[in-house]
Amino acid sequence: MMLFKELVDVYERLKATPSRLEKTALIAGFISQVPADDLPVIVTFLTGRIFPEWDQRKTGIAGQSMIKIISSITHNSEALVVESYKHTGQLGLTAEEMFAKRKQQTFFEPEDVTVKELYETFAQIARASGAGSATKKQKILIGILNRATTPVEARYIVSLAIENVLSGAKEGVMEEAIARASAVPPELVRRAHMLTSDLGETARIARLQGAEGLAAITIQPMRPVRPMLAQNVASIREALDEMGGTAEFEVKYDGARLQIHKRGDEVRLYSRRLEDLTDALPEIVGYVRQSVTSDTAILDSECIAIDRATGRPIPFQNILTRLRRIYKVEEARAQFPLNLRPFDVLYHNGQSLLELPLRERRRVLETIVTPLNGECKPAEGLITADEAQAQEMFGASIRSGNEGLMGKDLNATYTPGVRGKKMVKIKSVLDTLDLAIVSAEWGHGRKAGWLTSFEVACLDEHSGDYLVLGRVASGFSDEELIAMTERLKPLITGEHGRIADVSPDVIVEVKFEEIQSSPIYNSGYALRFPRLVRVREDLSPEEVNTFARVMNIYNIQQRYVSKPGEQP
Amino acid sequence: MFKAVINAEVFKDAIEAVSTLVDEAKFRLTKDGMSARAVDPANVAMVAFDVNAKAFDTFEATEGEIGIDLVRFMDILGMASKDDKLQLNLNEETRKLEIRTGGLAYTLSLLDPSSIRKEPKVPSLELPAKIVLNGTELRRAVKAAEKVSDHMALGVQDKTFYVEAEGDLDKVRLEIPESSLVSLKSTGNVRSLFSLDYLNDIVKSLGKAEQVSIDLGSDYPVKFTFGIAGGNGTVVYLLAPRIESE
Repeated sequence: MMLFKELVDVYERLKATPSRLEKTALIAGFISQVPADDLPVIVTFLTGRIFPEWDQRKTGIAGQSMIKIISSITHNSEALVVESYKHTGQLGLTAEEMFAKRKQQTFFEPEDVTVKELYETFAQIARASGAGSATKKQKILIGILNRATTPVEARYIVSLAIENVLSGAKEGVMEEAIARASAVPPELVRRAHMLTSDLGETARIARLQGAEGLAAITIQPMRPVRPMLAQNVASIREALDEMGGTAEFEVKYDGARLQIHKRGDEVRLYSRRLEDLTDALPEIVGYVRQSVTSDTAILDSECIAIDRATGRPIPFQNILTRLRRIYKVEEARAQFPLNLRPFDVLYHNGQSLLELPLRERRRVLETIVTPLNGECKPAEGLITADEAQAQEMFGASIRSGNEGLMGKDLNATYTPGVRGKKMVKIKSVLDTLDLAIVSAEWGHGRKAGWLTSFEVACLDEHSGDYLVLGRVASGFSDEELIAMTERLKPLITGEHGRIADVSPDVIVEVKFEEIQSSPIYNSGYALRFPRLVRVREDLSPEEVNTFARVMNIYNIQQRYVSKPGEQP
Repeated sequence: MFKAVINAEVFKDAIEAVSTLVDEAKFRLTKDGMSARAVDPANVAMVAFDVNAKAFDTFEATEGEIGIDLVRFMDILGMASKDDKLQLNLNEETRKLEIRTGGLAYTLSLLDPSSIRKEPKVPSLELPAKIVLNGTELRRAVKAAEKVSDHMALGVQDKTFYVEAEGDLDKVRLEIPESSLVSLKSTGNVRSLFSLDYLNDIVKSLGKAEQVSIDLGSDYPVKFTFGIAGGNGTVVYLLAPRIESE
């Protein structure tokens, strides 16, 4: 079985190369040497996770607890560990630093930790629950950390334990590496990944069963799937043209995407990031039980909040507080009752419907979702080729407080995790962009010691490079800037003058007036009047907007300019 | 086969010498007694534990090994009163240890000895200084040192044994001249630094001993040796030093 220090070596080599291509080649070369049975754990570890994306297990070790653990294994006082953490900003680095400062001698060299042992240790930590579990978790982790042979190994064990490995491979890189290692088409790997939400298992199937095995993968209830994503278009006309003249239009709700899994009476709800939200949303579970008649099903839906007094939707921000709720669910429920609008069906009575055209999936949806007053009913849909009719629906949607319309291709299959033109959104205002912070500038005067202005970038999906679109300095309060500084500090990769380069792991939503072509930044474009809206906690670094997306908005914007007066 | 009767407190004190360092241990049984060797998970402290059959009221054993979860074992032993007799009986079929005391009957599931960490080879150390003193004295010194620091030095300077701890602000020094010790032999001045986390665990058991002998060197492991079970057993602790300089 592979030793963990071999994996540490790979992490370190990944850290040393900024090039996406080299990272891909490095991982492909490495995983092609790994025995098939070890692939799942090793691939998952390399992406910085302990368990696959669908798996809700967490080690649940708090920062304070980790400080105690680091103190205990390195025989340095807690005060010293806290001191170190203050300047490294990352527990993994603190573990490394404290490990290097170990003054305690030992009688023997520890036995090397294998990857499998480490995985089993984490699983054991995740299992510990109930009274005294914090102490038990500590004890188990200390046991394995005592066997770290080098400070760097200690760093990676700690970083993995809290799933904060900064040099891990991004999912896209891993997909390509798996494809290359097993000589299978990357699209098949991506599809398998989106269906299984499990890169490790994908890698194992790619190795053992090749392209055929990957193609045969299907979805199953209680295993969340990446949702299909929509692209922006400028107008109803463009949507109709994209769909070949006729489309299904649905109200675009300002709600939260919810994937519903049902097996008999058992119902589970997942967010678009595959988090299990079942316990936070008891009424939705109830509606699904009452309304959905199929025995097994996976539905795609929007979860919305309606103001009882006005009948209008309540903004998404309030729904978010519901989703994050663990305690006092009932109170929150009384305050913001939620309704469900299923709009697609992926799985029904033992069969995957992914390959069926939307037209037929929608038909199934309407037969299996029994409307319950306003609480649960299929999203309003209109199949039309008539621009004026759709335009009217768009107007009605905006007037009733929704965001606009979705346009869907009736012949399209359901493609998990893909943002394409088979499903588009038409909004009354242009979108904001979700961009990665790639560098930041230290403030001065009152803001000395804070990072106050941020260079934001999109991802060029072809080269893997981050392309800068501008510098944002407004939109955040002092508190938010301080929090952002704490967040970025551990991500700093280098500093020159007042500028600190950071690894692109923090995603922010940026609002702007328009996109202009500009020679100043390496993207060739610049955002005009950019403002920070919020940190996208709900997005993983993988989900940063691509350059294609920026161009998409730019093109829409150009069309507005060329055809003034036309409403989307 | 293992079947024995012993005073509950004597046995509890003996087992505690091992349980302060490890949560589980392998005990070796012979017709002459029981023994264990263990090293703490961080490889910093070792214990060698030997109890002679004579410490028991009755003792019958065939050659063998039993794996014991010491946390649960100590819990059970804690239920016995001071003067209670303890009856131990190994059920070979179920691999459980039956423990009877004061009318209570416990059945302790044993651990598979192969699942327990391998016993360490205990190094034999030739050290320049040997100090023999009352266990209580050493415990007192450790308790005092703990108030100011997380580590403490043990040393001999000019025929005086000393214990010294220095924190960020405060300092504690305890000197015991040869006259107040049971004995002191030293070929020169020595000094080593040790973690109080470990010392504190070690003195729990060692503090009860009439006589403890300390083998000490400079920046070298220390060896504590003391008797248990009324002289019918011995415990040896080895503790690795801390590096003194910054």
